Amino acid sequence: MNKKLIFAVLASCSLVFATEDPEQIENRVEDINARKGLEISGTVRSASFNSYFDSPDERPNSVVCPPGTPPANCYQGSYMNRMPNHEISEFVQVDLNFKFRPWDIITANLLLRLGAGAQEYFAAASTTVSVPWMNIEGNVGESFYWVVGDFRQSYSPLTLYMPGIDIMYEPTIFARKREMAQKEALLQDNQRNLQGFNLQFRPQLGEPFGELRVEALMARLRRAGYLDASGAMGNMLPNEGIPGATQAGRFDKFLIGTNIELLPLDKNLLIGGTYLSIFDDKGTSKSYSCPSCPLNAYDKEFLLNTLDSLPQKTSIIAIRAGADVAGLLGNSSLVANLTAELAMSKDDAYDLISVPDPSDASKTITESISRQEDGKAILMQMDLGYKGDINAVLSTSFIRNDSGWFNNVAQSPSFFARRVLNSDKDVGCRVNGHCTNTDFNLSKYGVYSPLYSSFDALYFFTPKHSPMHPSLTPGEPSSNDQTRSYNASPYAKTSWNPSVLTRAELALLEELSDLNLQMALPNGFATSNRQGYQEVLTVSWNELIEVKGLFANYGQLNAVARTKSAQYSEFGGGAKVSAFGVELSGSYKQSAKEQEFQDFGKVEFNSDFTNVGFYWRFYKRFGFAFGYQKINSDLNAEGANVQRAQTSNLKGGPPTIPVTTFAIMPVVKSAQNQWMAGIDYTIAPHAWLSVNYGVMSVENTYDLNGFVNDNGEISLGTNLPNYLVVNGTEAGKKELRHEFSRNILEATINVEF
Amino acid sequence: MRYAIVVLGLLCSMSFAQVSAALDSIEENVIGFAVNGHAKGGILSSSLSYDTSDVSEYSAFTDFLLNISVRPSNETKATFDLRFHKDWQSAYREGNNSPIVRWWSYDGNILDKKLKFNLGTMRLAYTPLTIYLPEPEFIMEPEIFVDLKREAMEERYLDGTNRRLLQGLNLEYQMSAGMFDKIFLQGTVVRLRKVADASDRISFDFDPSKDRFSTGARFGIETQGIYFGVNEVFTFNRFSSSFKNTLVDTADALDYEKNNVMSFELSYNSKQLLQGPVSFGVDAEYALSSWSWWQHKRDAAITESSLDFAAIPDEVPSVTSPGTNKPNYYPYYKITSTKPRYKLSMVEELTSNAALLARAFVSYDENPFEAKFSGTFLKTDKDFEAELAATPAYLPNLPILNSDADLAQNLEQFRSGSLENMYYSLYYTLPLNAISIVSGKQGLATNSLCIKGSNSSSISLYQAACLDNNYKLVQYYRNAYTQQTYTRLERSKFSLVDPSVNMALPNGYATPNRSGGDADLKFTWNKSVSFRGVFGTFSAEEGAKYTRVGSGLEVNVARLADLSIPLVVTGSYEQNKGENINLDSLNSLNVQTNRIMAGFKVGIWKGLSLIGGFQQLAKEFESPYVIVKDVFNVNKTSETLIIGGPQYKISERANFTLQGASLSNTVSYTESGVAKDIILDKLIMSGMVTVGF
Repeated sequence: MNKKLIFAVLASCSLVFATEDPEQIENRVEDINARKGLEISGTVRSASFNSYFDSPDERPNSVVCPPGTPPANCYQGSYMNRMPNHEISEFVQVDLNFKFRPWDIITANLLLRLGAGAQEYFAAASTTVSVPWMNIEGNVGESFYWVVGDFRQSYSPLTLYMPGIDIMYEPTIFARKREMAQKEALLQDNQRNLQGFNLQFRPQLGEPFGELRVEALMARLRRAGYLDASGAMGNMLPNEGIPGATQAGRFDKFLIGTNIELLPLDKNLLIGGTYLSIFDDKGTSKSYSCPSCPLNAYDKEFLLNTLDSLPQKTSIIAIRAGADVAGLLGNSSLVANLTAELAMSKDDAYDLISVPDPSDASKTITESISRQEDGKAILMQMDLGYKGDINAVLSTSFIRNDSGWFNNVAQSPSFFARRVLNSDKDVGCRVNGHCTNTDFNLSKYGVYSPLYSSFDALYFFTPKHSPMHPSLTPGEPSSNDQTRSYNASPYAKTSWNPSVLTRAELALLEELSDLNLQMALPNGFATSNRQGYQEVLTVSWNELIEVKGLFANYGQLNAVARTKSAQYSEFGGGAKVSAFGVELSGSYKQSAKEQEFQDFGKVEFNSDFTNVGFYWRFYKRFGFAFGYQKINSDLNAEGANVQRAQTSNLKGGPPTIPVTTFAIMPVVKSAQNQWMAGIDYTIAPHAWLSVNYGVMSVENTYDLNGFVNDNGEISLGTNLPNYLVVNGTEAGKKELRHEFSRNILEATINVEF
Repeated sequence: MRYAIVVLGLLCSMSFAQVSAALDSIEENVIGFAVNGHAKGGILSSSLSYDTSDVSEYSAFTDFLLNISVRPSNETKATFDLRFHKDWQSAYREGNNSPIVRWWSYDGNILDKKLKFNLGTMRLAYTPLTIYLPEPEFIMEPEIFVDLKREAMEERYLDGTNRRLLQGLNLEYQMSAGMFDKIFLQGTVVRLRKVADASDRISFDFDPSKDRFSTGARFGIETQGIYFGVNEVFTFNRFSSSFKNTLVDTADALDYEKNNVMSFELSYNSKQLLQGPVSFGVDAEYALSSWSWWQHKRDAAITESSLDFAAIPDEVPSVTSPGTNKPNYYPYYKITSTKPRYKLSMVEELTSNAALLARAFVSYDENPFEAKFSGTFLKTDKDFEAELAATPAYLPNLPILNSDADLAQNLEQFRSGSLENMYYSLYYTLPLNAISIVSGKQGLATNSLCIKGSNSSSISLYQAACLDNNYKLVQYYRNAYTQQTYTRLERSKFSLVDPSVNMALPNGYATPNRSGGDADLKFTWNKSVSFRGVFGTFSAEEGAKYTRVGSGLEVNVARLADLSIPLVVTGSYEQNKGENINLDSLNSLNVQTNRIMAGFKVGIWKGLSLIGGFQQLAKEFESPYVIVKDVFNVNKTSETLIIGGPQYKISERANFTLQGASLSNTVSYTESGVAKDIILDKLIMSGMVTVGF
């Protein structure tokens, strides 16, 4: 308004300025005016996690002798694992969201993230200031919207989507922590985070034609660039040197997408289609060399350059239709809607194979062979029910996805199980006899690392973790501890991230996924090679009671070589009661997987997930929260053998170190428990301060088969914690138990303003 | 804001200058905190084809420049710029992508507006022979090229006003007294370079071995349009800042340079006394320079005693804690006598070298005609040295686009060509890690990271499985413009910079060893037809001769035909010729460059316009430019840039631009007697959104 007034005044002066340059004056007025156009909002996110690790198997006061150690060299009353038991993660993050010039027509947005690690307050010379989000957006008229820079977008579960984790009636005390962790990673619902431009034209065409949506986007998913193979960030498995281990790109990877939808009959019908093209531009190919590096040819290729070195070329076409029958009938008591989507993918895939080196038959080299994979995916979803005093809705989903179906912008999940609390303590025994060598840290193996817990991966995060130095001796770091020019930087410990993964990375992610959380559909409804359905019945009464029942059954559509199709089933239910400021909730879900292997027999894996939550609001804003979660899982002996075989690609270190054996020792039985209670002060749904205390405990039973000798000595070079290895076991034992727990005292602040 | 509207209302009866001054005053009186800046996002792709190869590169990014100013009173203002840059890349969770602060200044006009000061970053010029930034200057450059050049220069914080970017303190006191309209005193202290803090952290624009400072002072008086001034600039290294312990051999040396310039100015401008359409002016500057070259060398014969760190327990004085058997945890000092001594000596001194610059103009301004004729006479001694006036803004020395292209080594310096360096620049983030880090003088080949570990044959680059994260995003430029100053010794290392730009005076008016002059005629009719013609000739002592001749025309058709949409066409031609240029031991060059430029801007509908340009540049080496004697000679290069596209004005200072360009560079050379051509074709496409706020 002010702007218009100023220009009206200036216009009346136009005769006077006829021979001058009015543009300059306009600019100056804009300058002055634009200072009004600044909006600042943001989030303060602060947490203090104090985790006290404890394991009865770690015996500080006993005598421990590593296998083969002469008695004189046994450790007297000392910790085998010298890394600290207590990890304090304290941080404050302020996200300042600047909106410059918030007029109708154009706005520039900048998210400035200021971070501080509380315990480093006096020691660190600098704290982090970063810019995780920047864009320019605007609109033309009322129907056209555009954005350049960072944006989020989802079209449908088979086309553009971010599969996440769904936990039925998750206790509030835990759900809040997951919300913080996901928001820290800038995740929002099932939308994919992208960078590029996005155009949306959505004219309203009146009642019969409803709304038309014509949308197009272009995003760069990956830039050709080099990352340290040892980096925690940018690598799924640092230093592993296996396909998918590093996310460095050899090419610029782009996504181009168009989406057209028409919602006629007052938006009660939907017909639409999407075309996506994901491709690497081969012209940008980049590879790196370090001529003077004392690395052998293999390492030069596989440590300096990404293994995912072959260009992607994928196109996806999808059509979808849907109807809100209740809306068409004008019946407000009925719930009846149906959507169906058919998607087809075409992907130029490559396989890496080892072939004899033509110049030296004693060696092998890696070659790629290409093939074109075509795939189809079908997703049908239906909600049927009644709305009234009592609401009852049955939601049905059906999928039928080929094994050739591939769409990494819909399949890359936002969750990749990582180790968070006490990760410095994840120390194993290196194969060549070093059980005390604390730099053999196995935390990168996530779900297979010694001290993994599903709850740790789901609910905890640290934006800036400075790893504990393994040698813990006084004095200056020695030459190998840090580079001359820069120190090992801190990294973020979190399981949540917005990456779009490649075929090899998705395969690795599946290998390292937590089956308790991501079993049947690790890549959401777009998971390839699945057929099956899911039924969810929700009944609620006056917002006081809600009851849910779940049943799902999926199977592989095509069996993988030397196996029969895997079968997945899920069933469970839960309820929530809210009255008088008290909310009580609980759920139970059982998941199971069965698969027949020609070489191993029938593999069975079962997992139960129980949730109990209590929340009491008192004195308006105060709350008392309690939560309990339990996951029990078991894997049969055949499954243990399969897991060993499937994880045999893991190296246990960089390929440069001659590890002769490294093997994942399977956990055949696991009981994970977590409880937490605390007081909070809640200002608004997304603004609270809380202080909580809880215990997270894990009891793992490992399958010792093949890992123990006649003297009860356990093999080195596995994913067992080092203290468990040196403790040994009784001769002839087939299983080994490992218990550990974390006492957690935490305070969190999350305020959005 | 209501205040602003009322003020603007009152301004209706004022002239443009008065309105502008009033807006200044509104701005100046806003006390507090202000945020301005601009945001830009888009993609620039460049596809290079040469021989049988194709290489493409994408720069896809969002970039924010925030200009934050804090005004504690209406007399002073603290300003800093924060630059945020994000290359589009969501392949992985990014590490710390920090903003950088490029500009930090505290400026003011205090003591009843008599004393101006600048503390921190500033742009500063004294006179063309003392402190000045020579910039590339063309005849009637079309708008599309002007915009591209301006953007590239802005990346380096250069604003096209011939002012040098400096950091330090500047004070200007100005008053009037009696017959003098203006008496002023100015003093400046700036640091040009900072010594590196550690020998392996040599990366950006600072000197590895020593600090460099400059001090300046000016005095001037003016009466009745006559001005007399004295300027003095002294530039020097601080010997004690030296990193002389990097000298490992007696043959190694660290160089220092001192440069002093004193100049006297006398000028007259008739504008103050004579009313009417005709005005004229003359100004002359006479400068005297001295330069000396010093060296620190290691003296092998003499060592001196010094206190040094030691770690051998048996020599420990009684600092060991009782009861411990780990004495080597306690550092101590002991006398050692192995330190070498370094000696400082003067290698060369050049004193009393003079330069004379005289300029005159006559102008006529009566509607509808505007005309200005100016002439310059310059004579500089062979050893005249004015460092802060001699380093040019444009120093093409690196590939801008498609830097990954693997060209033959001898062609490296021609790979990007003048036009690419002049009009394109890239700004990008890169992870700083074992490979990308610039590690000291040795660079990658002997990067300590690569030979980490005691046994050089061991494979120890990636020692352990632990989660190191040697990864941080840093921001880099590929940009041919520089705000650096280079010393005389450093400039002597540049052989052929770019003969197509300011061939006669590559170091501006402070170019040593020149005598000659030029004439420049500008003529405008009805503010719609502009003509410019330039002729200049300069010679050097050894017989080199330079001539420049060119002319250009711009017609604003929209103004001529009274159209409501913009329609401007521009064209120019320029020839630079150099004969007998003794470049180095290999080359006595005869070179001719021809530049043809044309451009247009035409409005189509509302804010939509079409803008385009054409530029062709040929460099012909009459006697071939020898790169490797008898092996590799360059005979001719020819570059063509055709660029154009739509531009849409979204709102005030917010634009959307699509541009396509074809950039072709043909290098004709002789390799071992065989004549060859290489054609480097680039297809450059860009789509950008910019918004100023």
